Amino acid sequence: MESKLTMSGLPPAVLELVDKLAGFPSVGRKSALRMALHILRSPREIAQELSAALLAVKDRVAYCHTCWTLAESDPCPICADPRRDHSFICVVEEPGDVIALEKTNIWKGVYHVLGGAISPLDGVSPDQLRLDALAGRIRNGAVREVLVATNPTAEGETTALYIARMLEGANVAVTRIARGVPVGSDLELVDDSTLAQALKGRSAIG
Amino acid sequence: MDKSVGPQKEAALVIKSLRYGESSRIITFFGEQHGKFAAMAKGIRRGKSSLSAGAVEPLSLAETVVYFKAGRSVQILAQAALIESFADLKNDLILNGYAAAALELLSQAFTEGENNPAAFKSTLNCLYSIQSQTEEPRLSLWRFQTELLEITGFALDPFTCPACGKSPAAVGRRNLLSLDTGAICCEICRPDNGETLVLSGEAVNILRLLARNNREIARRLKPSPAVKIELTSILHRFFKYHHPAVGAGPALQMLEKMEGFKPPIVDAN
Repeated sequence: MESKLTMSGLPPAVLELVDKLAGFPSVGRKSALRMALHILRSPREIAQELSAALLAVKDRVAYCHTCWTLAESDPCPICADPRRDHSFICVVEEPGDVIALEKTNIWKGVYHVLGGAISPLDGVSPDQLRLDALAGRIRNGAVREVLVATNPTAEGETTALYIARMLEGANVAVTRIARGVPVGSDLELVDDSTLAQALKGRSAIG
Repeated sequence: MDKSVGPQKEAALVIKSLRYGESSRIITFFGEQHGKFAAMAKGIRRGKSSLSAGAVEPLSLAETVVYFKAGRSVQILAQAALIESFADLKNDLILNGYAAAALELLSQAFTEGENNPAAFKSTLNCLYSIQSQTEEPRLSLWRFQTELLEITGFALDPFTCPACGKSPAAVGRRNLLSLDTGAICCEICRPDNGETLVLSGEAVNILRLLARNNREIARRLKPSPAVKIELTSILHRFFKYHHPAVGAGPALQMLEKMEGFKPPIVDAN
């Protein structure tokens, strides 16, 4: 049989897989090659399960048209849960933030995923985020509080300021998640801006 | 860029910060000595990184220690301590927009590795000026633009007509800005060749005020809405003529949009 090896010594099928894997964020060609070789060495069932999982995620997972998180149902289980308080909306940047906040088991309200944060220098403007959808939820529902839980970065803070300004005049409390010293850290190693925020946001003990 | 490999300390403004991999960021700085450069802040998004995340947020001024190596497109950030967070500036949507527009211009005007301590100082002054609000932020941005033009060798001269050497009367006359020379020409001395832009008397007076750097008058000055549009457009065209890479980038466009901002929700009930 004629060899299908290319100049690099790899069959075209492996190279194609490397090309596809290298298209993922944070995956370089070396890592992609390692993954491709791992798949090649694994039993056929592993490859089948992987391809089935890839297709399932595309076929079954979609955005919840209420909160815009990723879910297998629309509305998502959180939005559909009657035990959740729908008058409290927590605004986050990405679906991954919903997962992080849900792990705390503290928030009993619902969420709204913006799909990013305002970043003038990167050309991300407010109209590219799901801010109109948030305004619509507030207009249509009996919302009492909007908790802005965007990242404590310059972009996240700009987004929080924008939301606060957008909701001026709406009969709704706009709050921001607290910022401060991470659990288990030493005060002397904490940066000045975080420490300043921690001092400003001090709270009574007990 | 210095070819040596080793840690070098300098004050630097943070222009951009992009997520990289699981926990790192690639920060674009404009340093006092090295100008514009990118550096990797490894593991900075993890809470326990030894790097101060607050120091490398966009619009911050940090004291950095960077391992520079010639030929490497992304340097390694070893340390970063906050010098100035510009917190008041970051806590105001419009002022934040002005500061972002200034950093965008700086970033567009210089390529990586092109050092310019004067541009660093001018940007810093602009950010302090916007933050202090002792004058309209639009004036601070215009001053920065005219300084940046001067620093890069394309200064505006609103005082002397290049043909007759006299100072053209700004008010009540048709003022012409020569795109080639940056001078305001008398109408009768108008150069035969070369593109010119028509300027109002108010716009010429503001350019003269900025050139004289008279902060006392600037504090009291309230540019009319018409001159805000006019001078912003003129400076944009002049920049574009001499620096094709400098344009109305996303930050400047967003600022213009935000200045006419109207809250979309007036009353929810």
